Amino acid sequence: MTNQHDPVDAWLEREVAPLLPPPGSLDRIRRTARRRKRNRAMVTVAGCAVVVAAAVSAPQLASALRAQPSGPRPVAGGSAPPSARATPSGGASGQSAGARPLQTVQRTRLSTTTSGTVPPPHFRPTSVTFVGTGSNSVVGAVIGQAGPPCATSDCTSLAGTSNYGSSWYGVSAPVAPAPDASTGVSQLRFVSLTDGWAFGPALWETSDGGWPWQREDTYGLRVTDLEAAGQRAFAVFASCSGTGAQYASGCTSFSLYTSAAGSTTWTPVAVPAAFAHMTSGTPSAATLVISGGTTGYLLTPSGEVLSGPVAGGAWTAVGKAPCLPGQAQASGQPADAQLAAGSSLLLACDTASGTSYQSTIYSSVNGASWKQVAVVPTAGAATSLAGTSTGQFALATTAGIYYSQDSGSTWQASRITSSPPGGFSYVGLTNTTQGVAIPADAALGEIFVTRDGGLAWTAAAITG
Amino acid sequence: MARLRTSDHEAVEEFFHACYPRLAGWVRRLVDDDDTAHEIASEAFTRLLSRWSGLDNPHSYLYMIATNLVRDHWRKTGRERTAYRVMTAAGPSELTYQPAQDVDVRALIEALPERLRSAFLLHYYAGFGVKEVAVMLGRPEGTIKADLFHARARLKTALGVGP
Repeated sequence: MTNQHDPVDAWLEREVAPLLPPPGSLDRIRRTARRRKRNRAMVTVAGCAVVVAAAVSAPQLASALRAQPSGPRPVAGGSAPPSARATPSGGASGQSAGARPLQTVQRTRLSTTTSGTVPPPHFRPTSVTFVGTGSNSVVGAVIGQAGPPCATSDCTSLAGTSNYGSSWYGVSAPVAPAPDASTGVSQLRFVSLTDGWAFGPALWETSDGGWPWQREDTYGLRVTDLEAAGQRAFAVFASCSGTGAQYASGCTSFSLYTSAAGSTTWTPVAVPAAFAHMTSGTPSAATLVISGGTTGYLLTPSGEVLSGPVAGGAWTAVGKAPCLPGQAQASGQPADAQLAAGSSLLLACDTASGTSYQSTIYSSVNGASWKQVAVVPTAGAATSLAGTSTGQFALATTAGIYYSQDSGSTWQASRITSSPPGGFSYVGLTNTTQGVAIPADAALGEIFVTRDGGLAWTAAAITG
Repeated sequence: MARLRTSDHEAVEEFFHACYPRLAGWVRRLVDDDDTAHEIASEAFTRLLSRWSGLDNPHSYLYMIATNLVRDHWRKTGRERTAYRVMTAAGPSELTYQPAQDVDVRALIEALPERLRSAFLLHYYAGFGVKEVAVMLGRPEGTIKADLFHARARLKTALGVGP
């Protein structure tokens, strides 16, 4: 029993008045906690490296660490030998990196200005991403391979831009090789200046704009597609038999996973039981899009379309697409069926006959039913489709780009300055005027940019 | 697939929103201002999150960290008060008890020996049971009960209300 005249009891009996956290507190706490964890791990790993270095060479250490995806995660930045990282990180090429101590590696991040370093020479881009979708979305990054020459097999590199490709700077990259069966990365998505994912077939995540990167556990599966919006990412985890750079080929089993930005844990998305482990008798692919930042769509190997909220919750089967995805291209995207979300969902189905190429365009409001809106004779096979919320769409092919300004009803060939041989492997539209495309031949060392809604495209070399 | 589990990210977010306001409010009654309370609560959560995956009882761990941080804060401000008194050569060397002021009960708690103070704060103030406090402080339950009794007795004696 307490005595209200007892000052101690009176003091204790007073209710604690809750103090609400200031805005952004949890984000700041998370960042600081992550930094401390990394520092602890780096001290530990650096300590181990000193011991190991006495007996084995640095490349052996790097190999051992790469073989343990669930191992000490901060190795993305701090434990592989400097020689394995200096060139790919950007800005350090040409130095005698092997002599540099572990902690002097470049730590460069995505920036609204520049990181102060330049991209590595002979950059071969394979994927591009831009932050945001508004008129000011000019910050983006490309992922690709540096060199040759490159000192080691871990030549994955990143370059960032703060002016939509007019100039580039170096950004720290995952310590990973080019795609080779189940290892390496080739694709990139950033959802903000800080949160991004490198994937295809392995999976890495950064919460600090590119330094450091952490390798995520994919449970022995390959990540063939990933899209993100807000604070959440969705990915297709697949079981595939493809070898070498064709990591997304020979895929016969697929599952949809999700993770929050900043998390290292991926969990299966709640889907109808028949779609928890989607299997295909023949090699196939699955493709993801996010509409309006709020609703996700998955075109499954069987042609069923699943849809669900980005913010969390179950996905349901909403309809059947008019064509099936084919086996994956090198980018992980399916051949024969390209899906995009813009003012509506658009699906480009390969309806070629004989030696000509042709895409039939279907439109849908929510994936439930589809209506044919156009037939587009093209000079090459369709590889990628992109759209905006205001009705612009672009279709990349192996022989050029086609664009529509009216939600896919009519299409025209784009003007491309110095059209790259082999066409394009990817196209993306950032807003009503800006768009980017990746040439199929990465060795060109450039991406293509449009600033007029897709009418004209010009090359932007990945150089400082 | 058995290795898959609920996202830590979401669990942390839920825990933060459930516990931060009360923790910060708890600290606020032990320190001088809101800013210091937020600073200590944030630091406690930072230390918690940097070890999140290896903890069985994050709630206890959180309050233990906060208790230690409050103790460190008191030590620091105690040193500052002493230094100020030396500089100004003014005021008594002992705190003067003024019953109407909440801060003086706090000052008396602050003056308790650390062994008694931690048990007192965690049990009477943070609301942990004797058994939990015993686990948190690594002492037998009987010892904790005795510490709590002695802490209250000292406080009441200092306040002149008898044990």
